Amino acid sequence: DDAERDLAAAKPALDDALAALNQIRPADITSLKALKSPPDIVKRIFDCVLLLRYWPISPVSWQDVKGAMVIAGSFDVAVKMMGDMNFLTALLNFPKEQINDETVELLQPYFNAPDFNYDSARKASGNVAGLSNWAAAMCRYHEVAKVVEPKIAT
Amino acid sequence: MAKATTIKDAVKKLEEARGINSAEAEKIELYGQCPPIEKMDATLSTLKACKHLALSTNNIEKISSLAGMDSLRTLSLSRNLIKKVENVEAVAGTLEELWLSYNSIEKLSGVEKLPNLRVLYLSNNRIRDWGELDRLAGLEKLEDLLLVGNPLYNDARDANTIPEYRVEAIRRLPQLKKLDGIPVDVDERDQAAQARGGGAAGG
Repeated sequence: DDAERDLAAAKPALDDALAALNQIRPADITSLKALKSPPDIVKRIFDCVLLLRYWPISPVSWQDVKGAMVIAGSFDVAVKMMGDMNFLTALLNFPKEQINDETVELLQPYFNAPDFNYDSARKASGNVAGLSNWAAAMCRYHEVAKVVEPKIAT
Repeated sequence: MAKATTIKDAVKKLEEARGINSAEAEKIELYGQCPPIEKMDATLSTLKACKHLALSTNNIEKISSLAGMDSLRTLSLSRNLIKKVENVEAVAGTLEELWLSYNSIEKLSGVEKLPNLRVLYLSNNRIRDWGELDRLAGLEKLEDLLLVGNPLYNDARDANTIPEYRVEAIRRLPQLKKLDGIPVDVDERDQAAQARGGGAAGG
């Protein structure tokens, strides 16, 4: 019962993540693709999506953005990902059961940046900021499910 | 260019930030250092209680200096610049999980020296030959293998032959329970057994 309560506790975060995805319109993606140089935080948010989907990403390098050192995003690959007409649908149907501990660890350096949150992403980029909530919710789901699922299985 | 962060600096920073004693901590998180760590060194031998060493998201080129890490079960080196699996003998008695996604590994020689390996994550490396998987055949405990984003996987994806790719992988590594995040199912196991020429599908 503890196990099921824990999993139920993760549900609102997942619902929020899907709601955030549903706010993103195909037009938001189209206009983002058109930007030659999108806001830096957007590039990093897309890195998180690339990592969750096992897409290629560049070796790590850091850059100074307004006085803070942050990871340089692999936006060229992200643009390729957005070129898929089904990009948003693929995220809505993302197989969250397949997330592993390694991916969660790879996302931590992004989450640890002081500006990496929905509000600052929202200011910089509007609706696509929802992707930052989505990535965080996917990791949270994995962390909860990893503890809970063995308990349900026994 | 900024100087690299040394393991010693990174450990000290971790101790200060978390108030821990690194010689007693079971999880040592040195991922995502800025500037990145470039070299593993003998400081690692002081991490006696460490079960999970997290060195992901750095610029390490070579695996080394694991001697003395007597408790190490999970070695995480994802998103570095590693080309081969070497110098792992010192932790062969304990190592169960090796995370190496997002590196430049083409050949899997060296992995066969880790008899207790259960989990091997290798997404987005450069593995293109089936023969590389044969090197894992002797690892009886290996149950979870991740190969998404290697040429071997991408070719199958582009040719719409992922089911065939899975059966071929399971034929070579019948001990696997999970491949690319997806459990190996009964049908796949039967097809792999038949392909192996053992007959007795499901037996």
